[in-house]
Amino acid sequence: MFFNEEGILNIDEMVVNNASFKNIMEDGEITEEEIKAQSDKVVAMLHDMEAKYSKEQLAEIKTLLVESSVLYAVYNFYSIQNINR
Amino acid sequence: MATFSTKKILYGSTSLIPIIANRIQEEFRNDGYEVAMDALSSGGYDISITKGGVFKAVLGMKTALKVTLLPQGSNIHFEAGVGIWGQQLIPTIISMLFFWPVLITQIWGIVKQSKLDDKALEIAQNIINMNSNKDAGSTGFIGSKFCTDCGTKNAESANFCCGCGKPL
Repeated sequence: MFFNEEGILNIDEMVVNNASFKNIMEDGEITEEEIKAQSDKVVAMLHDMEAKYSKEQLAEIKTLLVESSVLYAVYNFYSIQNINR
Repeated sequence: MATFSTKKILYGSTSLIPIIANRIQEEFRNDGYEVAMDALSSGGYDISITKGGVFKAVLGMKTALKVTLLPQGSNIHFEAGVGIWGQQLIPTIISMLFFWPVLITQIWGIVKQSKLDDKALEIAQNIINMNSNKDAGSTGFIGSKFCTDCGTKNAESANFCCGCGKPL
């Protein structure tokens, strides 16, 4: 589900096939409104999950979100560090 | 061992950078890879190397082994890593996806397994070695042969010309 047959994370294919992504990219231009709408969508999904899932399930989702955000943040810090060198 | 790039300072003249870049392009093309090369304003070169089955397309863009050769003082900075085909190093590192670091780390694992970075590094190192043989031989090679393309004198044991990089 998460990985393709070579064992590589399939996230880009999921993104390409995602309705929100297709809709935003359709006219070839990304607007601030589209970014805000997508951001609101993510927040709304998190609120829905809070209402729907158990504490244990929410803890797992939260861990994944935090660990992924840590990776994203440190990777970008690393990139900036290399540009400044 | 590098985590997701191979970096090395090569102790050879920066004038060898175009020769090394051309040789890397030629050898990978001979192995069936698609290769694109950009001359940088710094005097360096940015080389993209890709082939289906090894590199994955991400959001419609091909990923590639990116080899960058940059002048660093009187030496050459060699760097090989994973990036987007045809994009130079700095734009490439702007993450395209939240999980971009995971993807490049995984693709880099495949590159390391295939030893593609080692191959590019070896090509660069060979040209530098041949050139240093040439310098050492300026007092005269024990045995020598001349390049039929550019006329440069090469060591008897050289397989490629240290002047133009063509096979001898």
